[in-house]
Amino acid sequence: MTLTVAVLTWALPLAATIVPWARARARGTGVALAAAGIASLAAAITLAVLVNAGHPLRMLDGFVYVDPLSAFFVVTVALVVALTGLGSYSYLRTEHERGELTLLQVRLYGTFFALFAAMMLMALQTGNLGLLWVLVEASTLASAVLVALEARATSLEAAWKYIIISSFGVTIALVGTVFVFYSAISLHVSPDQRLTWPTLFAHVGLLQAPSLRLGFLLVLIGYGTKVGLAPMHTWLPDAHAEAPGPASAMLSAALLNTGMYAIIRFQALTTAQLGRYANDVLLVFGFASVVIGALFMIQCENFKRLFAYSSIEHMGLIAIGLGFGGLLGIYGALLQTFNHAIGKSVLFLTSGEIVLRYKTRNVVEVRGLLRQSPVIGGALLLGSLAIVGSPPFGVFLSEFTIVRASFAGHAWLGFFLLALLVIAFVALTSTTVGMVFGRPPEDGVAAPGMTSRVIGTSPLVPGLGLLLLLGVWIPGGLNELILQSIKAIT
Amino acid sequence: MTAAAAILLLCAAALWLTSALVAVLARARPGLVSCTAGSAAGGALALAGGILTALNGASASRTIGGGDVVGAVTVRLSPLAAAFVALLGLIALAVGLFAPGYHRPGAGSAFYLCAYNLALLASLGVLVAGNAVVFLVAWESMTIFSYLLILRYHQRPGVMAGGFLFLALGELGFALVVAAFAILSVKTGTLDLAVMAARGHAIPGAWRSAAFVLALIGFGFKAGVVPLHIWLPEAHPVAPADGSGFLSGLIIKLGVYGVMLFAFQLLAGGPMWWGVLTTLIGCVTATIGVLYAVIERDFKRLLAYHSIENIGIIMTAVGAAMMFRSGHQPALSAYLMVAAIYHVVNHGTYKTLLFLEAGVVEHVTGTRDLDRLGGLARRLPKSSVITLIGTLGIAGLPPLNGFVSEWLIFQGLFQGFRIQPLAGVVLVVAGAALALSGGLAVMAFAHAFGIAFLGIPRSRAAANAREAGQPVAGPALLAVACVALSVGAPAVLIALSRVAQAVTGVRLRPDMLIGNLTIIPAHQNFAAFSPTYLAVFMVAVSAVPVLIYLASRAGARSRTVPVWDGGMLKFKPDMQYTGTAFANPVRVTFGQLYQPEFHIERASDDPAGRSGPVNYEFRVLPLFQRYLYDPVVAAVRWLARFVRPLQSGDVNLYLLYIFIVVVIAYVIHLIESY
Repeated sequence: MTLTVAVLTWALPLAATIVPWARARARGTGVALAAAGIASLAAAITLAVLVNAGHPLRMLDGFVYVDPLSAFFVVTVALVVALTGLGSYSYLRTEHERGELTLLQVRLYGTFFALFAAMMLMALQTGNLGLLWVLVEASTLASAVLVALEARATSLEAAWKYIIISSFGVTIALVGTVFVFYSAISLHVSPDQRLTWPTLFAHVGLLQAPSLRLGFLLVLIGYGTKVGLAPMHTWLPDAHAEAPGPASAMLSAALLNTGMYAIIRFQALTTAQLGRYANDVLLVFGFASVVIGALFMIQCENFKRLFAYSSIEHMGLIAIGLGFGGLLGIYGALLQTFNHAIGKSVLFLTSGEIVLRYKTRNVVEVRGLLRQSPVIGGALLLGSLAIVGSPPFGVFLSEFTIVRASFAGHAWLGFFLLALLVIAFVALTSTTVGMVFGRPPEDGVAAPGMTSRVIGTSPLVPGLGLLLLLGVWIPGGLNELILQSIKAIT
Repeated sequence: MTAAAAILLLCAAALWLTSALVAVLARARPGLVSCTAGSAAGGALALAGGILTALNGASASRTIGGGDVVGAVTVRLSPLAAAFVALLGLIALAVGLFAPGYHRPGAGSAFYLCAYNLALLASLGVLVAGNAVVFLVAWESMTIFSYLLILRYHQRPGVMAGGFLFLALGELGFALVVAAFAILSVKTGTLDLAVMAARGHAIPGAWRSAAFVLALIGFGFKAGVVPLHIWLPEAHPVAPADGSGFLSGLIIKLGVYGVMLFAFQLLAGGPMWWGVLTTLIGCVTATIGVLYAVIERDFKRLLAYHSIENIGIIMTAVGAAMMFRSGHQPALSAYLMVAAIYHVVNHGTYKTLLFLEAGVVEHVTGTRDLDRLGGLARRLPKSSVITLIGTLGIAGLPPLNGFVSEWLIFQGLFQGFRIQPLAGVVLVVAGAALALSGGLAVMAFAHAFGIAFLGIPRSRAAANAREAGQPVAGPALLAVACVALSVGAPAVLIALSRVAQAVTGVRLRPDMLIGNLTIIPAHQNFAAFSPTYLAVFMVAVSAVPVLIYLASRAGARSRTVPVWDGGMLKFKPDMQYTGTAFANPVRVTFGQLYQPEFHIERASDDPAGRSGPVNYEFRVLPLFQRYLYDPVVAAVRWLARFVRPLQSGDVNLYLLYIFIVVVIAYVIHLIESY
């Protein structure tokens, strides 16, 4: 039962990869993506319920391994896939009807979007660290096609940078994985078990400290490139800015989290063996990311880049939460992961809709959104307030938990963190409220046909509703899942 | 009684939430009317609930859900918050009566009313929060919804900028409050406010002081304490009239509530310097606020600066209460707390009234510039009577409520000699500063009321003003409340002394009243007075000339002649004293503070009087903005520019970063290994 559900989560998107080639056009491809996403989400939630009820899945020598932490990330990613699948429908139909995308591009998008999703969902369900690496690399390659899809000079450049830098990073992660494998040399288990996380975690005291330490550092740098931790984040703003809206949302809300998932696995091993060492390293990268993210958000002229820098900031926050550790820190980090995934999906889907209408990514050319389209303007306003951590949205609760963890750790770091959050708040909201309010530009007429398309806004309302709900009430199931996840890695 | 109060507040919250939904869903006239009616009814319930809680004098809390890590959802009825809840209810009631006559149905109004009702709900949330997380969520929600209601007319110049200043500085203050609560929760191991208060004494002194100072500054941003006030004169005037009234009447008072929550409950009893600091901040705020108010020409900005002044008066009283507490004078401390809360309620009442009336004036004349008004008393008779009551209240003139609470505060400050000498001197200085600001406040409102309502109209818009169709009920209710708060002072003191008893444990009451109508404020051997008798006496005395006039009118013959005009051929509006001229002595005296820039343009070089039209402009130096805020903003921007080259677009450079990090990691690894 658990296995069937687990397989369904990634098999459904995988099945959707062939739909575009079965004579489907933009509409069919979009429907397939949205349906696969929603079905996958249903499977993921079922999986989480089953795992939470005490049936962790471990098969094929640990190649299939789903514990509460995996289930938590599977739910997060599947939720993002469902939201962006809905967004893809609107994107594909609009751009295809306008002739901006050829049928081949539509089909490429459909295939690689679904493949991207499937690879990530698979990566989250394996206990083998080598296979994890392979799947993360595969998801990178699939997503690079999405970044380059619109085939402008800038998007090709962004995709190129993305591949070069990510591959470089992922290579370092591979070296790190090898070192971790080497640290388990004295374990009396079969060689493939030396890369199996549950086995390693069960015998963590026998791992050799020096190679584990070096392995963790390299893995952190390698997967940190994927996550967008500074200073390995350099590919992120370009790729997020150039990708189509739903693909940006997938990159920011799903791919970064998958990388963070890998880091959490390695961190759990290192912390169990070496104490706070791994935490301190995470804190350094976390604060570097928040500083870079916050400072680059100031006066950013491209709103998609702005949200990309916000993602760097949020990944830094999650790293900080993990770095401070303890119940508060890890709980805050995981909750932040979930909230950020929803919030960033909403923001990137909204910005995708804005790009479709205004055909610009430039902040100053977008004015008076609320007047032109109350739903898009409202989503941008509420989404950006939510993402900067304003109550009554969920992000506030997780950020406050992380802040409490930092005051419990080092109070002066807590002050520093709050100062950075204020800078990020002001930088992001000052930009977006300028787009939402004011008088619409005289000549900036909305593209015809777009305002009437309800489906384009369909992921925004449930996304924001969920964030609002999480801001006032954390469902018991989610709370339990996070607590079980913490138990699984400590 | 607790259950009754809880049910009342719950119903109020439900009504406000429903009104917010109704505002969005039903945008036509009936929707607008039912929305405002719901919000007014909610206000009436909250008013009753607040009064009940104050009289009850006991706190009760209940947890209704929430997680164990992030924080429980706990609500609490606390006596300290009771007066603020009642004020919230009163303002919501008055604004709800005012709003249907002020707003036109439409998308903009729907957006505004939705934000306004949610802001009411969030404010109630702040006051009934029993848990730090609930408090913070409600607090920042209140800021967000207030920000949205300020943006009602976002297409007009200055609105976006003023609103954003409100939002950004609100966030800055919020971050400090978050830090204060984070320290308390980490040091006490709980998020529940009641438990936090009980364990507050166990926190090491340095952390207590850190938490207090953070809270003082953080809440100070919201209260509009100088120099954290710069958003207030920009943001409050640009909101719709009822929104401005709500912001100035209530929201900034919640900043005071936050400080009181920390000073009297969570960290009850701190060192003397906490009180000294608060008092000095209060004095500076009162003085600077009124000095900027006096020279202001914009009616709503003038009111906004007066809010700053009054916050200063309240903070002085709060600080003095803290000093008396540290100086082992619990009775005086409780007394000053009562006076401070009394002034909070009074200011909330007349400031809301004045903002509503400023809205009426702006509606009928299309301007807020005092020097373009004049003669409105004859054109807006009801509004002018109501405004006069509010003006007398805010200027602190007897027999109105502003006088009562300011007098009580003065009486408290005069007792400064009962604590250690140096601290006593601070209270003397505070008394002097409040006296100065009280005097200037009288001048400022003589200016505001005199220029706008008396004389003859200075512009066509003012001359054509008509009162018909303008809302009266809301402001009139507040005017009645002003009178009631003055005449009924003994009743107010009975209620507030129960609050003080619940918070501090000191019983004030038997010593404070003689024969029910006379108040002995601070000490048995000091002054006593009765606002009720005073009001009756003053009304009676002022009735005497009227009676004489009426009595003599029967037989005497009256004649109607023009006003003596000094021999001019025709008395023109330009010949009247202007607001700018009225305030000029102050501007000259305090020139160092204002550092005004003058621009005088004449049509010709002839001596004044024959030179034709003269254009006279002056601008006051934005002191705090230029020397306090701009450098910080510039520094952050400089940092942002400084790091920008990191993202140059060169892939080789990007790969170099990663390589450097790997090398550093390896070096660290080697160091760790040895």
